[in-house]
Amino acid sequence: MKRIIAYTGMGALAMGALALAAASGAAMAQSAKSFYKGKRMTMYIGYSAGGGYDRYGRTLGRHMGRHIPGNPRFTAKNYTGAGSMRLANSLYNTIKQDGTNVATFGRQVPLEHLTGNPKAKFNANKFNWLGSINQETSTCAFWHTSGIKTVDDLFNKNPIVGGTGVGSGTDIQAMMLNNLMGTKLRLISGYPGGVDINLAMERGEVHGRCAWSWSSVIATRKKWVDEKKIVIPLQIALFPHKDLMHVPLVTKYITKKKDRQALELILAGLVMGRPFAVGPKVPADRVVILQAAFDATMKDKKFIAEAKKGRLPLNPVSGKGVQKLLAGLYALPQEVIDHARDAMSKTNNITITKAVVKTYVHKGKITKIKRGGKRVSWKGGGAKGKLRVGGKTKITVSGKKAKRKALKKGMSCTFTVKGAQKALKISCG
Amino acid sequence: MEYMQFMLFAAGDALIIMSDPMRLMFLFGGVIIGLILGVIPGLGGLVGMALLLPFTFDMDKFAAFAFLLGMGSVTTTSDTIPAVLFGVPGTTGSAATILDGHPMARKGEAGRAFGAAYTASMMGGLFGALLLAVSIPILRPVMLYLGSPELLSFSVFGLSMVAVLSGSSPMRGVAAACVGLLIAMVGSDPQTGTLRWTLDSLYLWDGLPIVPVTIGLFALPELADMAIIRTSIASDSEDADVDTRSGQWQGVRDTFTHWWLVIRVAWLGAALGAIPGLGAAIVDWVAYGHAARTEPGAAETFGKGDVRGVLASEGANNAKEGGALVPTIAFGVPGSASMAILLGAFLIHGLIPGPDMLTKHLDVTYSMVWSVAIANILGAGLCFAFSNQFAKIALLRYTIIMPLILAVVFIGAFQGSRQWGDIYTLLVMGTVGWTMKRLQWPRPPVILGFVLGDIVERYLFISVERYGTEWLFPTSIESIRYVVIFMFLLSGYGLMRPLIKEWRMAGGTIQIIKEFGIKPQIDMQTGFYVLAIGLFSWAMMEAEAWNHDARIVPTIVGYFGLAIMGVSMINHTFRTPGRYDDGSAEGQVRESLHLDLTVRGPKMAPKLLAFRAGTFMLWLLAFLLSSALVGILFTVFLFVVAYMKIEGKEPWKLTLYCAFSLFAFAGILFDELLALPWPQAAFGDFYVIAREWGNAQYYVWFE
Repeated sequence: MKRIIAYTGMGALAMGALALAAASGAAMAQSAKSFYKGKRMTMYIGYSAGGGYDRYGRTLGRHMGRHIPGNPRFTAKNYTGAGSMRLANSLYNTIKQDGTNVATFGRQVPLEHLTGNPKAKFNANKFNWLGSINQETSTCAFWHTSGIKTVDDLFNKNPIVGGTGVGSGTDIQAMMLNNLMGTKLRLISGYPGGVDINLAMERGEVHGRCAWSWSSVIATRKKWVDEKKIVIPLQIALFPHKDLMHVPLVTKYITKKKDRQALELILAGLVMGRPFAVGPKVPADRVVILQAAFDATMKDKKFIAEAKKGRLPLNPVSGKGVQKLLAGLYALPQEVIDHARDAMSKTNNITITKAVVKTYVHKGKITKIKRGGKRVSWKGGGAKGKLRVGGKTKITVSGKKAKRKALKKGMSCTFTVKGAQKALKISCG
Repeated sequence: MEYMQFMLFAAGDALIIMSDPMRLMFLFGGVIIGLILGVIPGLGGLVGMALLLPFTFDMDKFAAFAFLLGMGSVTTTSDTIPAVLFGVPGTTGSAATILDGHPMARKGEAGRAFGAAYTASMMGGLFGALLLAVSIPILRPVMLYLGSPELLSFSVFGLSMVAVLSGSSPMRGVAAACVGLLIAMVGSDPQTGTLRWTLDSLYLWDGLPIVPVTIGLFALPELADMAIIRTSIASDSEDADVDTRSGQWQGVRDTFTHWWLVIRVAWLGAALGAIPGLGAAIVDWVAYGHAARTEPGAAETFGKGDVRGVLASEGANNAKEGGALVPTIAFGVPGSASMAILLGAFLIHGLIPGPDMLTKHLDVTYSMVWSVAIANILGAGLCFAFSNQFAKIALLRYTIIMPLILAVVFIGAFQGSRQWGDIYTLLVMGTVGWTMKRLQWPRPPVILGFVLGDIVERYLFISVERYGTEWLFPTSIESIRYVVIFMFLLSGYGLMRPLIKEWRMAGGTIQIIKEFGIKPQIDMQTGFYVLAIGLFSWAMMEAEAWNHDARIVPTIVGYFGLAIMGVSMINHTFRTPGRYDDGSAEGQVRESLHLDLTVRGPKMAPKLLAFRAGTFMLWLLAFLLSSALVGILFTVFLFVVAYMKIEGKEPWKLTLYCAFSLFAFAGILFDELLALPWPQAAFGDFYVIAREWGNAQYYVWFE
């Protein structure tokens, strides 16, 4: 009896195994078209809920399933970290690449790898891009009482612009304008967000800001434009926006070839303003289906209506378009890439805070010494002053190196002073 | 005058608009969702806003705001329940409620704490709404007056509350605040992009999220001690059968007895809530500190189950919602993170924050005021109706409560930034919190420093960059910033006062010097000091390599902290009689005040204590390991079963019932509704695999 049961059991197991094998075989043979039937897709969003990327991602997720054969349902997941670079890393390396996981991350993130950030563990050129929902045009806007009205004012009047921190669009654009175009913007950075800069502008703490996308101006502060509360002296994009035909475009002022190429690299992010991608190893036939679905969704009336209601501007770029753009960028010579990186980050052309401290040379006699030579007062040549002598101050007495204790009242010396009080060098007779 | 009339009309119109049954229904629905989210640690208004926003697209604008604000206004009403019962803050806004609420539950007064908290919450919420209503005409000029230096001065004032919240160990309090400030500076620095103390991990780039830090610091130590003492929560009460009903009414009466306190903290909460970035996480502490400083006799009873402590914290945290609406409505600058999402709703319904909201759309603005007010009344009412059941939880065995709460705490912490690192943060902060609790170091200053560190550094830089030193040392009459000077003076006074008081109580400098001896006292405290000083020193060494702007603030804080820690250590080691520093003075030479929870129960043999603490740690690590192997959700199920069977020897039926209920609840809430991106598990996430398999079967069989 036992044996019979055992055999039956084994038989059942074997049958089960056969059935499983058959099923998996069938799965292998199934075409990409039927693959999506009954699947649950995930829309990964690299930022927390409620922001622009989140709203674009969720809106796309609600409509794209209708254009994929089998009509899978999308779930949106907020996958935050490192300004959405964590998502780009995960999509490239760890998230399952069967074509059910779509991701959207920051428009500047694809450039991180290109410009040599060691923490970017992906090759942006190898992602399978589905497209971008919007191309952005950035503007520099100034408060009407700030006195900044034209492009010339950006060069001559040292306008104060607000920023939200290193690596953000507001800071990058300000530095880029100073470095490539030669403007004299003074950047005050560290505001928690763009709306905080707007408030600072309204209360006169800063004059204006850059990297304010025109779509966002219209969605959130249209009244300021209508009532002429803000002046827009410059638009930042490769091509002018149709609403802003009368506003000068940044490309007009950046003419050298190398500068121009660097500019194009920096502004690439604006073209893929709201990018969507799947991993590099997703089967090609599924990528084709998803790209087609993306393009179809962009023309979907229901999707357009919802985007309009949510005030999300649409100006789509296809997956092929994004792919082409990135291929072009990756083909740029290293020299241009370095130049672009410097233009985005070098601060020597930008007046941030510290005024240039001049160095003076005084001659005179020591009149007073305090704290064992740490404070020295001098008089001579119709002037007098007080100096701080630090450990790094070079001191010579009668041509020999000496310590600050060796300084004595009444010595005749030459003082090299940085700013008002900091002694760099003291040589006494 | 004419404008006043116009306002009254608008307020009246708005009330009529809001009395539409459909809108009231949405408001009611929002309130229920808000109450549920408030009870669950780690979830709160922010998650709720994100979750509900898509559902409001098709509503009319009044219903939409009623729904969202109804939800957002009451999370801080129900978050009292876990805070009082388990010492686990339901949202970050109720952390200060624990200090007095939880000791009340231990004394069997959970019902009274609830009654007081709900009534204070409701009153606070109403006052917040009232502040919003009356300040609408003057909103814009006031907000335009506040520049970065003013925002800085408010944050510094918040920080000065550390002095009160450290009780009678001011040096330890300041040192703890320095720890909090340094933790706040972990991550990518906004000024220079320098990666500060990120230990080469991407997780730390954005800095530590507040949820796992708060839960780790306050909730885990409470749970650990529950596991160590092995009793039900209300173990301090002699009366086994707690009558919560009458307790609740006692609580309501308490609120009216102390009405002036409730009004004060409500205004404080609303005002702080209106300052962008400052409000949410610290209003309860500032209000609690205010009460501890001003209420008569607070020094003896606060932190030991004084109902006024609960009133202060709960009155303030509900008022902040009305306050946070102020900058949101007037300027489109969100007063808190959840308000940022509410701004999305503004856009969808075609409303632009700004002057229009005070003229053309004044009815919408006032409908928001009414929504907040009505929601607070509804929320408090519902809590009253159901909390009798909740209060009885305090009588349950720890082996039933512990695994359930612990599992929720784990997933709640993961909600912080949805990364595996959140779990590590929870455990590390839990260990730090438990050690601090055992050694009587005040924990509230850590949270204050952590929340305000970022804001202080940010606005300090902006103020200096923009105005040089002019904002602090004005050279002309016009450039005097009165608010800044006033707030700085107030903060300075607040910080110095307890020091001077302690110095006087100790009998002056000479007496203090006499108390120093040569014979060192070495104990557990010494070990903690050495560890802390070592950590600070390491942090300062790391900071050496950064450039000037990234280094300056952390270095000042760090060296200051080191100095304070050093003095405090010398004080502890060499000063013998009348030692007031740690509150455990022999023979009660001097009265001491410790504004934090203390360890309860009989003294335990160190070996047994170490064994039980170690066992608890092993349980936590087991949860971690199992999550890494088979996924967090499936671990929830395994963990509840294992804990209840091994620790408690509970019957199978009850065990499986608890485990499965929690598993199903967590699955629906966290996977279906919140769609958490679960971390990769070594053998695959069993829950996800099962769900996908089930999903596929559904299509095979039914379509």
